[in-house]
Amino acid sequence: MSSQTQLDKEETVEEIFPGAEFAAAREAKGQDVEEVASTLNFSSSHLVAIEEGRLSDLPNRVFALGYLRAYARHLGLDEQQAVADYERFTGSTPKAGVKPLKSIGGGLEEPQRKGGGAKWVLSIVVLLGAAGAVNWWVNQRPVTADVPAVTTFNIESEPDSAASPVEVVATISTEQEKEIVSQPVEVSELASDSELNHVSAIPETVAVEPSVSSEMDVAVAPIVSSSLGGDEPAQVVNGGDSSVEAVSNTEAVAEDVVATADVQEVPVVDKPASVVEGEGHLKISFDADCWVEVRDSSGKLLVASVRGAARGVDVRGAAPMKVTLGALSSVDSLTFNNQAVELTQRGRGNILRMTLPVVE
Amino acid sequence: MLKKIRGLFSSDLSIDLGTANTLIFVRDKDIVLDEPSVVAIRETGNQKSVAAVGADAKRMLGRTPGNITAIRPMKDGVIADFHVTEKMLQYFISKVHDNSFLTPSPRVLVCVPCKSTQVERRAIKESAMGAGAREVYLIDEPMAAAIGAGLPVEEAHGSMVVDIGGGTTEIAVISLNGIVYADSVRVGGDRFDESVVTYVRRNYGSLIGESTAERIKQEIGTAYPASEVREIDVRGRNLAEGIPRSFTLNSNEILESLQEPLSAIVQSVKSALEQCPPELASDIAERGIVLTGGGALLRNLDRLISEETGLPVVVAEDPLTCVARGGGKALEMLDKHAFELLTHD
Repeated sequence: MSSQTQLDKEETVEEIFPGAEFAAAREAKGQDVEEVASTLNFSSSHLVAIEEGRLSDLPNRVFALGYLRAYARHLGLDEQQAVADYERFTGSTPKAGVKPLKSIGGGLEEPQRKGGGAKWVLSIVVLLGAAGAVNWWVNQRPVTADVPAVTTFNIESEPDSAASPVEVVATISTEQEKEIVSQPVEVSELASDSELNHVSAIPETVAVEPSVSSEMDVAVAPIVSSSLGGDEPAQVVNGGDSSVEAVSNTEAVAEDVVATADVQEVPVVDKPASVVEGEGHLKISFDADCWVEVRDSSGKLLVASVRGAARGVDVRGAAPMKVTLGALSSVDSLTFNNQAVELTQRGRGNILRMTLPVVE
Repeated sequence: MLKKIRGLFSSDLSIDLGTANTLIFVRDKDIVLDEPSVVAIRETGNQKSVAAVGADAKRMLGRTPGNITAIRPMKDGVIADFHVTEKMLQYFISKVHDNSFLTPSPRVLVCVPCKSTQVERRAIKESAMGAGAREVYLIDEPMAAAIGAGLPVEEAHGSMVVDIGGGTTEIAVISLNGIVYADSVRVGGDRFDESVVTYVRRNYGSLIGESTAERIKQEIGTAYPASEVREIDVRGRNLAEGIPRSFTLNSNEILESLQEPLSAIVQSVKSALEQCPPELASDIAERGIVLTGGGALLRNLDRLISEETGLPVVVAEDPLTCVARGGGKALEMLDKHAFELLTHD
């Protein structure tokens, strides 16, 4: 018995298909080959070939595996092990180059697509196009970041010691264009109230001669603080001559720039706190909470929210503006284009609907 | 012309357009898509749009609101709804080409039931063309199944293949790259499900859906009495009370419920053997019958057919994908010499 076991071990070492396991299992069940063959409807020669490890005597793979599985199942052996042994000893793999599905509807690899090169070429062309577009756009933009000479005026006016600062920024740059471009700066209105009048810069290019810069009409309040940005120290000019000095200062700078570089450009100039024609500036302050709805002439909603004492309304938009106030009694003051509007006779109950400017 | 250009960026495909599942094999690659042949259609007024396709749509089956209909455009192996099939194919083809800039225009090989009519074949062909295919080839399903299962179809040796799909069961005897005998019965996995539904309604007075019936079939279904009995808990709507009730089914009950469709399949196999030329019948008796298709996964079906015919019966490896893989192999031979494998209409 022990010698038989030793023999079996040697056979295993010699890598022979373990058909003996099938024979042993069959004998353990007390069945002969013919009996099993009739039960499974298999040819007994195929079963004998399996038991003797003659796998080459079996038909092709699909049948051989079918027989092995059925025989293993019948004898209570491990089907998967039998299949693995078959594959190991015959060197065949399931569908060379074709992997079986692990599960239905999932875990499948995406196909590799032909024509990947074309995709890359197309991608590169698109990227180059985008880069060209960005380059063009950058070149078309007025250059402000690379301005070599920048002059900034910060003019603060304080009528009756109450400050109403107006910031005027004039950017003068040296460029390759052979013309001086500047923007007449006009401060038409300086509000007497103490609120800040901050004017955003509106880039505009107007070609003018150097002498034109002397025509810049800068009307300032008695106290003007003018600071020349960059290397220029800040200057404080007092008294009524401030406007003249400011203008001359501007002239001087302009001429200086002309003297040093023939090519000048002033692409960005701040506009003063003026109300452009057709534009309305609405300011409302409140004592208590109030619903506010403001629409401009095109019907665009500018404000639609509850405002209160802490947060008033200060909007600009195309006039005429339509204003709806939900609680008229909460309104402290309403000014349109810096002119106070009388509200007491206009409301219906506590609700006010009106169009500004008021047409009497 | 445009299709030819787009074809340069497309892979050749083999499509197993089945009643239950659609599988796509990409040439020189593998099976890359295996999705249920279900499309969910959303109706908005008079306009219809595709809400979901494949696995997503299958999850909707029987669970849709009024404006969404989850339908299976294939019935009994052939097209039941032409436009929906076209949309489904379009979706699947674009899905396997989803990296493409251009709309794919592949060469497509579609597997068709061997007993389908010329009209049905033309419908499948037109549908594939409508879905963007550049050229469409048709191959008989049992031939594709035999190739996919690894049967020696090119030898002068008879091989019998039984492909049990969702809608049809195809039986064919193949030798020398040709079909000697073929038959198709409109019995398949769907009929199994219907039988389970009917059985449960009749014996438990409860109504279950097709998805539940399919799950029961997959988990405890058997075609031949086994020593081990399996059980499953099922919930269905009780017809008398109108409320969902739970009950337990066992494998012997499912075996009983499947008797009718199973006997139809066995009868067809016997009929094929009867009509088979004696030399080929002898070959089949020596080696046996090969089962493919999802139906072959029904437990002990090989045992049943073996008992009924007295012949060896084996289940192919990975039977669900045999048809698509066989189509893929035919596709690889397309440029060489295998045109005799393809059908001509």
